[in-house]
Amino acid sequence: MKTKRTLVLISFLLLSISIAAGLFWRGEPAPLEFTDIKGISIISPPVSLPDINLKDHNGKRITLDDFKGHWSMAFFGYTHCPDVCPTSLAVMKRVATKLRKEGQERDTHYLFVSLDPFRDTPEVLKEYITFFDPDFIGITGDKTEIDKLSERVGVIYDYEGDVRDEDFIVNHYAAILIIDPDARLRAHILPPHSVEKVSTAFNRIRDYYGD
Amino acid sequence: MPVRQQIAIIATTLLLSFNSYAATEVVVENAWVRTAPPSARVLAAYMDITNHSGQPRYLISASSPQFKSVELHQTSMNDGMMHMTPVDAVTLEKGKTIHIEPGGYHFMLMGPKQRIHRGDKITLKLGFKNGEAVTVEADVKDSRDEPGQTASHQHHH
Repeated sequence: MKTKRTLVLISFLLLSISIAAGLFWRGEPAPLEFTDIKGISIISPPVSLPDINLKDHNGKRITLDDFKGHWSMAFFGYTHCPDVCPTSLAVMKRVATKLRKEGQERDTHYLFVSLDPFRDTPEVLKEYITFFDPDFIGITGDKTEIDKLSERVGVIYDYEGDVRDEDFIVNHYAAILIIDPDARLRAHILPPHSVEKVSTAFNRIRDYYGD
Repeated sequence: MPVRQQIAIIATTLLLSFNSYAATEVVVENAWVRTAPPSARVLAAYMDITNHSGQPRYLISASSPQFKSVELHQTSMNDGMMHMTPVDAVTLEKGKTIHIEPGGYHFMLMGPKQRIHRGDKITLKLGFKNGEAVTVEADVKDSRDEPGQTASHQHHH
């Protein structure tokens, strides 16, 4: 009889502990899976962005805090990019339009991070990014700061040609990155990008991981 | 009318009639140039090229009077990393269409001589290994799907 009471007590204690743990410690859920869409890579557990000191296209300082409190969609590229960047930015623009129309934008920030600080000054970026959408944000700055960010989020790139020359090429990773409201990398959406693929993946990620 | 001018007219007429025959061999359709910010130094042109001739054709050069230089490049993806590689020649198999489209081949238009705006026409001259040249007029627009502007014009020289 005594043993039975002890068992009940132990079970009750264990139950209380697990409830308390569930309440106070929000664990990382199982990674969201995409069986019907190709090229969505979920980062689980998410990777926190580093402390950064960059500039937006108006010359305003951009730090880690600017990534907090809202979801972001980011593409890394360069303004002298004739094919890949305009293609993905045009998709991002159409995704933004779709989300706005559906009332699903929820303060999403759309970012274009330059991998070419040699040519992409805030002025150059401003003309480029506002051409796609006046609400998009261009980000540039010192190469060391750009590298700090790109390395953390897994965006690899290299230069082909002489950077002192006007015509060098930047080969770069071309995924659209999804960053959560705690400034953590949640997913890579790999190219090729379509409006359907990017908006569906983005909505599901936000619904699953929450604001 | 001076004889010399008459000869010139006859020659031109002959050349034109010969060329309109040749025009059925390599046909370019849906040529477009993507709009870019007014100060952009590099733009991309896209099109579909069909080889109706009985032999393969090799596209080896491109130029435009509106740009300093034009190169044919290919975008290729390797583990999500995009590489842009200059291409020396594109083989057009007989009876086949090559799609020069975003994310694949593109004509890289470098150094515009004046600002390019939406709705402008860009003249492109494509050179083939057999000496044939095709002149293409490409519309400057946002994307291939943009309604209203579908036809592109071409003629041979």
